[in-house]
Amino acid sequence: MRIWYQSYSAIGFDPRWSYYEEHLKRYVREVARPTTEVSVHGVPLMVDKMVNSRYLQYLHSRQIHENALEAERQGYDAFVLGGMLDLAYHELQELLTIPVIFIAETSFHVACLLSPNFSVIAPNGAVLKGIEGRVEDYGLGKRYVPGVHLGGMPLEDMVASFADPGPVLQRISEAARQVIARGARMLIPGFGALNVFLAAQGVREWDGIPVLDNTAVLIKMAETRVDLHTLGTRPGGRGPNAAPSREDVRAARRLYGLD
Amino acid sequence: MDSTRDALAAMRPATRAHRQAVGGAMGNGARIWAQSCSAEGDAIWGVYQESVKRHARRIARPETEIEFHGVGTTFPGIDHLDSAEHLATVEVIRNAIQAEQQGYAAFVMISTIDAGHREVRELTDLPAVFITECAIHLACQLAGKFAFLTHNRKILEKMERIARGYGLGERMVDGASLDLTYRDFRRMYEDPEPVLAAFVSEARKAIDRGAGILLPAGNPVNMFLLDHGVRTIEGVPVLDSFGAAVKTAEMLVDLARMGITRGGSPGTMEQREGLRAHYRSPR
Repeated sequence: MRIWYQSYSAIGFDPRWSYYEEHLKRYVREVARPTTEVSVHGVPLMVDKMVNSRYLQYLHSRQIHENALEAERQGYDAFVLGGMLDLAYHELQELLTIPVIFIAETSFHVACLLSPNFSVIAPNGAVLKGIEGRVEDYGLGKRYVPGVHLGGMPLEDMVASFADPGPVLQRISEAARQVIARGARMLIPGFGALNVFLAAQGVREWDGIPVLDNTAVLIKMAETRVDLHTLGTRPGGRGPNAAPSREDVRAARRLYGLD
Repeated sequence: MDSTRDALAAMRPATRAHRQAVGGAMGNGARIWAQSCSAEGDAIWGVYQESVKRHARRIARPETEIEFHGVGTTFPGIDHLDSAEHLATVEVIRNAIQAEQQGYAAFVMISTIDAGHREVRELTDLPAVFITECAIHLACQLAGKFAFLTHNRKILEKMERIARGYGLGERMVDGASLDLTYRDFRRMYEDPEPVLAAFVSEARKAIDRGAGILLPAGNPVNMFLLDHGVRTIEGVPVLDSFGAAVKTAEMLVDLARMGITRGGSPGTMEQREGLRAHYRSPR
């Protein structure tokens, strides 16, 4: 089985991300089945303010659309999105015929299978707001305990944390205790790099409350979805709009100058 | 620095050695205890039981072993009466405890009433999958809205109550049902065409209400539709809830072997031991 892992970050393009890229590639190999191949991809362009703006997200998502189509052309069995805003959610559901799996959606549903409720620790307020919007979109608000953010987690801090984990662990610990005090019974890291960092530190729980390793969960769900797809399980519709045919997509892409 | 030490002390490590200690390398075989709320060997359920066992062999990973267990008696009205569920649940809990003691890797409730949903998780640490809960969460990842397709109105109402209890009511549209009981399951196989036509006709109503995916319930309905090749109705997928439960159990076993598990039981060790002893003792 071949899985295309798509990050929203500029891994593979911007050397500032190489430390995360290394850890991520190693970790997905470690958690995948021996017969699963996971190839990790970033995007060439990224603006920091993307998380705050629908328009910037649209521009950013276009890179993801192209990679998704490329994954399908290359015969991958599944396309997984490793960014907690689940960008391009509806477009990819329409575009792809292979299973497409989103890290936030998967994390929330698996958390519900493992726990009466869940909460999120996000790097900053904008990401938290975006993730909480997804919780509502997915109809899971009744299982959600309002989350918390770390007050900003610049890339430099994230990279440095792998070599010197103490200060970041301290910040996460304080954040975790806030949501645990609100009644959270499972914690979801709200940033892919944050989860890989916690996995590298061996963190599985805080004060007895599990931290969901959503990188591992994403890979295992992708494998499960490919198994189910092989057994005939197919996605259904999402509202009144019918997904365009392959022909419609090809014609539209030509019209808009993408092909 | 003290606070950093506190932060570190609050974490539980999950080293590679720990992962191997709890289950060895991924891909090793898993023995799964599949639990039904009907009695094994009950003639009413015979066709269904043969069908589900055949399907389990077809869909499980080669290294997965699935063993089926029932309860002592099929309590009257088990598919929709809470009082019948209550009686079956006592046996379900006892069996889950036994599954854990006997080293099974996971416990799967395959009756769609999800009997023992809270209790099994309180009293065991086994990965536990409940077919309806699992199907609902998967359906939400596969489509916008889901609807149940059941053999009678009473079980439809029960399924919808269960879905709302899991907090996913807003992803559900009103489902559809026939007017059958579980005593009709054998007859359905003997003369399937009218029943299949009735399911298709009723399902269309749920599709018109916006269902993007259909969840058959109870599991005999799921197996009946699968056995007759009904995977879509009007282009809308019919989810194989049993297949979803088996595959989710395999996934949760993989995750447990990596140290990714559900949170601890709300019960203390002493309370759990005391309750387990009660359930294990003969009545």
